[in-house]
Parts: sequence; structure tokens; C-alpha cells
Amino acid sequence: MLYRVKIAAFVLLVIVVGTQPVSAQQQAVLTDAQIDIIRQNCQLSKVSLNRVHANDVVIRVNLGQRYETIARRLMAPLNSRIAKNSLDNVALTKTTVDFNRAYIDFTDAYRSYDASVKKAMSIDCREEPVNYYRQIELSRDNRLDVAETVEQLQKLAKQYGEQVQEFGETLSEEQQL
Amino acid sequence: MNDDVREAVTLADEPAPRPKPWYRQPLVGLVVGSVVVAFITTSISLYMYNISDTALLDLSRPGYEAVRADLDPVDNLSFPDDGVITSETIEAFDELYQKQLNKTKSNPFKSDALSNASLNLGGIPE
Repeated sequence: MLYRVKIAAFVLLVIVVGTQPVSAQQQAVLTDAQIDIIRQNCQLSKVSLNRVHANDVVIRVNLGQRYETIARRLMAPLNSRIAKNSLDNVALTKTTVDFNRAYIDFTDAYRSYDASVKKAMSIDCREEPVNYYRQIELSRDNRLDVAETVEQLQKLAKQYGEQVQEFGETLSEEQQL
Repeated sequence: MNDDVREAVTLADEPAPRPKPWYRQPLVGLVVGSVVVAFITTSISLYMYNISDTALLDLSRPGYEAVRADLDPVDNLSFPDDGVITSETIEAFDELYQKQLNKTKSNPFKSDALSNASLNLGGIPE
């Protein structure tokens, strides 16, 4: 009985492991010459990486301030004012909710990106050139994720602006009637 | 000999109380307790500093002196959440909003800051 249970568990394990999706993007193997390039330019590369990281923190703070200004000092008070006047603001409120959600995605994506860059900065690229390069590749992917969230925020902010303009046009038509 | 004199003589014969060892002095307990409380509260503060995004965005740390000047000044604009809504109100809002929107038109994270060329690893194809 115990033997059959063990066999069943083993078969289940093989099925679970065997059906894991294989990533279509295999990491390129670094040649010896490329590894030498990393070792030789290790110091310069680290200096550049530090500079990129410091600049990114400033970009993050500036973008965060702008998005928070848009959400808290513009969207929220307008939505509240429209609601207090018993006017229809469903579309504006929905866009605001989506914008706030997208902002959370942005902060999460940046957090992952920052962690991957810091890990790259902590690796000694003379001792571990391959690890260093892999971490750079990961940071690159994470940076693209951050860029996608920024695009989404830009799209929603623009959408809100258009909806406000439509709202204004509808309001002025009603006022003329 | 009356009772008071007898008591005074008895008390005088008793040996003087031994002083407490240094680690049982109240002042030492106060100092050690203060240090322990300070350690706990500092640990909690550091934990919260790291777990929140404050640590990510704190430009007062060493190493960020060169980029502090690139920070945008904080906008103190506001739009009142009370009052009537007219087309003029919406126009005024739109003007404020478009100014802010224009500041967010670029996507700096789309740049190739982490390309191999930027990181002095130009000999390696991406």
C-alpha cells in the first residue's frame, strides 16, 4: 500500500514538473571574450550603473510628485465637487480609480526594478561577470515594466482630461438651454 | 534603663546595611532601560523606513548629492472641492490640469539607460 502511494506521488511530481511552461526566451550564453569585456570594464560599468540608479531615483520622485498632484489635488477635488452638485461623474470617477490603481502598479514595478539594480550594484563583476550581466538583463526587463506602467498612467491622465472637456461642453450646452 | 535607650543601644549594635552592588543601583536600571527602549523604537523606525518606499526615495542619503538639485519644486496648486460647477469652473480646472499633464508627457524609463553601450559593455550584443 505504501509502495503504491510512493509510486503515485512520484508520478504526480513528474507530471507537475514536466508540464511547467518553458520560457521561450533562453538567455544567451556569454562567450569567454564577452566575459573578459565585463571583467575589464567592471569599474566603469559600476560607475555608470550607479549614475543611472541615482538619476532614476530623481525621475521616480519627480514623476511620483506629478502623479500625486494630479490624483489628489486635481482629480479628487473635481470629482467631489461634481458629486456635491449632484451631477453625473461616473466616467470621471472610474478613470480616477483606474489611475490610482495604475499608480500602485507603477510603485510596485519601480520597487522591483530598484531591487534588481541594487542587486547588480552589489555583485563584484570581476569575480562574477556572468551573474552581473544576468542581473543587468533582469534590471533591463524590469525597467521596461516600469515604462509600461508610466505609459498606462499617461494614457489615463489624458483620458481624464478629455472626459473633463466633454463634461464641460455638456454643461455649457445645458446652461444655454 | 528605659525602653528607648535600650532600643537605641540595640540599633547602634547592629551592623550598617551593606551597599547594593552597582548593577542593582536604581540609576543603572534607569540608564539600561532607556537604552533598551531607544534600541526598540529605533529598530521599529528603521524597519518602517525600509519596508515603505521611503528608503527608495530618500535623496538625503550619501551618494545622491549630485542629483538633489534635479528635484522639481513641490507644486502647491489646489482646486477647491466646494462650490458650484459652471463651464467657467471647468475651464479654470482644465487650464490647471493641462499644465500638470504637460509635465508628464515624456516617459524617461523608456530610454536606453541600461543598454550595454551605456554601461560600458558595448562589445556584447543585446
